[in-house]
Amino acid sequence: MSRVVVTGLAYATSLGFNHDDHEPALREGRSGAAPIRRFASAGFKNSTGGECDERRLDALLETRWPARRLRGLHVDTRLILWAVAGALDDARLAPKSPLPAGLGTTLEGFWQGEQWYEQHTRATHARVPPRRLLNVGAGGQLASIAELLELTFDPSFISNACATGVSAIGRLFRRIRRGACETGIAGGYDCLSRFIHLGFDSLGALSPRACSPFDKDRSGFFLGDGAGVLVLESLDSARRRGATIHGEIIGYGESVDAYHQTHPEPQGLGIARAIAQCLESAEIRPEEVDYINAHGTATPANDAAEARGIVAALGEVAGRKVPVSSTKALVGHTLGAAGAVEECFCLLALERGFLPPQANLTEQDPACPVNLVRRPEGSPRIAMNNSLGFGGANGVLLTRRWDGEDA
Amino acid sequence: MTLSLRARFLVSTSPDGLARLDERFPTPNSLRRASEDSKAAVLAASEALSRWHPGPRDRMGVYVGQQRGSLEYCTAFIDSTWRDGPRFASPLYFSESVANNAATHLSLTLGFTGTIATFIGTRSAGLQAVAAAAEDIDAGVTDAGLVVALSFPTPLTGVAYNAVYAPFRRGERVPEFRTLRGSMALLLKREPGAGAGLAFAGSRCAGRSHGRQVKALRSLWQEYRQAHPGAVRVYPSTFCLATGPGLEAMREALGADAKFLIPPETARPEAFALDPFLLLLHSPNGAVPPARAALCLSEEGTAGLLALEGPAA
Repeated sequence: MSRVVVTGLAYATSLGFNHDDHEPALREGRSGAAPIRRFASAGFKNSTGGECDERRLDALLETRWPARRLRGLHVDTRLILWAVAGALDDARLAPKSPLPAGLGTTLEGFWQGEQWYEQHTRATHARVPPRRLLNVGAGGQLASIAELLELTFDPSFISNACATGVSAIGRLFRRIRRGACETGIAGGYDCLSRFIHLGFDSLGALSPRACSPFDKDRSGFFLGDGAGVLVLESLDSARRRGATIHGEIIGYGESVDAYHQTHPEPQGLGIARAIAQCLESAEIRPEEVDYINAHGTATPANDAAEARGIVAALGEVAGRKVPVSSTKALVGHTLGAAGAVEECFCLLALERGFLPPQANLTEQDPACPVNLVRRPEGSPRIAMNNSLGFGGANGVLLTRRWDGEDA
Repeated sequence: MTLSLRARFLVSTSPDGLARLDERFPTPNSLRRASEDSKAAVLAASEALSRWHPGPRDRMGVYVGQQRGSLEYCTAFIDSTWRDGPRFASPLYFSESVANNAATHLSLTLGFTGTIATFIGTRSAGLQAVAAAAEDIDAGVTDAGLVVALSFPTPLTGVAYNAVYAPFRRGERVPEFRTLRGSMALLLKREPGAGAGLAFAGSRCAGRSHGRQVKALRSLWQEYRQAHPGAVRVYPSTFCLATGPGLEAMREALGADAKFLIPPETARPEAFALDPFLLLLHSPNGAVPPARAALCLSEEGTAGLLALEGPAA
């Protein structure tokens, strides 16, 4: 079995771009939530979102491509284009053969699609050129990226609800680990759009207050833009290329609740099975986990089930002791990007030596018996990244700090 | 030992095909309000599994390939927000419009807890699902994979496709957009001497231009041919409105092997992610399909290849 290392990454959220923008925000507990600007939200129950800085995104892209070549690409495609290009640049990788690309998304280019549908059915003044429909699907979005980067991809477009990003990374990790390929990119992306916002609002999942995971008075989340892409590589390949290593992925576990369409199994049995499988694949003991980046959506059902699952899988002692936080309090729920962005947060914590504190916590819910991070201290060596999705899809990744080959 | 493939189909080419599944098939109560594609997914899977033993439920993976999620419920949700106002949008429509909804219903109804994955966004989504199922079996994560491919276009699909492609036909009459609605459930399992086996499933994306499509197709074909150099007849699967350019790209990519391409029936209805499986595995009259591979080119630029080995099922 090959060891699998991360040699490149790029990620963006409402807090900015990559480690340097996110580190201070995560340390300070600064949220990217703001009134939504992308679409009119008058009459909505909630109108808060976490939009990325589109002007800065465009400026970053235009350092590489002239604006005319980016015409017709909406914010979702631009975000994932930036993340794919950025991760490959970070890894100093220019692949000659088809590059495995596991990209996760729940919405693809839905924002364009809903605008076109409105134009078609309601004859609104908005004009979406039909050709832009080519980028409504993930295949069309990656085709645009392939042309701009002049690459050939071996693609898989996975959509596992909110566990999408972790599933994409975990699947590529397994392929590299068993020698099916040496290098690839994996991650996820999604952008806030009007009807997705209304959809989660209709389920009562969006909060009118600050997003406060594991708090006694938590009431849900806000949605945010996000994209995160990692370059995964076998250690042998990274060594041959002299690549800089951000961290080592050491385990992946997944499970299905088969319980309810939108609710997690309340005792956390599904996520507990995924955690146990992940620990087994990493060949580590529960007490070796130094930090858990929880799925932590701040909905009453999710946080309690996840906390119970953590304790069930790690045991009463380690499960209640390991530091836990949910960074969704700061960047919101980025859906298909969540698992990938949160994996980047784990790598940030491992590389720069701190634990992201649990933001917006007033009084911890006793139904969530985990050790929430209070201060940005510590020097974690192994981080766990949990994702729980609609339909009971659970995914867990374990990542180790890179201290050199023999550490 | 090869991975055996056994498939069951539910298909209809009539405009309201498979629209009244509740009447035609007894479905569980939990599916009463489910989208038609989820119902068809569960029904095809139930029929397949009643014939072939799936093995332990916690060692069973569920994989769905669908070019688009449930458009029916997606538009119903949007319409409900316009009709009733944003504060009264329908949570039922929304939860049924989520892209992995069919996979959710499959795991809920059948009780499979091994792993679950939905692949979307391209005609080769079903082929990606087969590849993922095969990888999981190889990796020892599952014992068997239930792969479901779906095609559930709505009238809106035709409008959207015509809107995209009509401007490029320079005044030609917009052709009728004939679609096929249906589902396929395929059981992938290690099984000696069980009939057709999986030889190859993969996809490539290099871009949308003709040259880059040829590059993607060629890369895929060459990878397959390195392992399987003998003669093999191939079904082409391309978007119906782009059959001409798509076929041209395939012929160019296959080079001397273009002689293996079976001329397509241009009157075939469009079946999106279900199409390569229909071509290769669907034999309604019990006839053995003459081809052992299906090469597909998505209108969005992704190429896919599914190839079989061993005796025909």
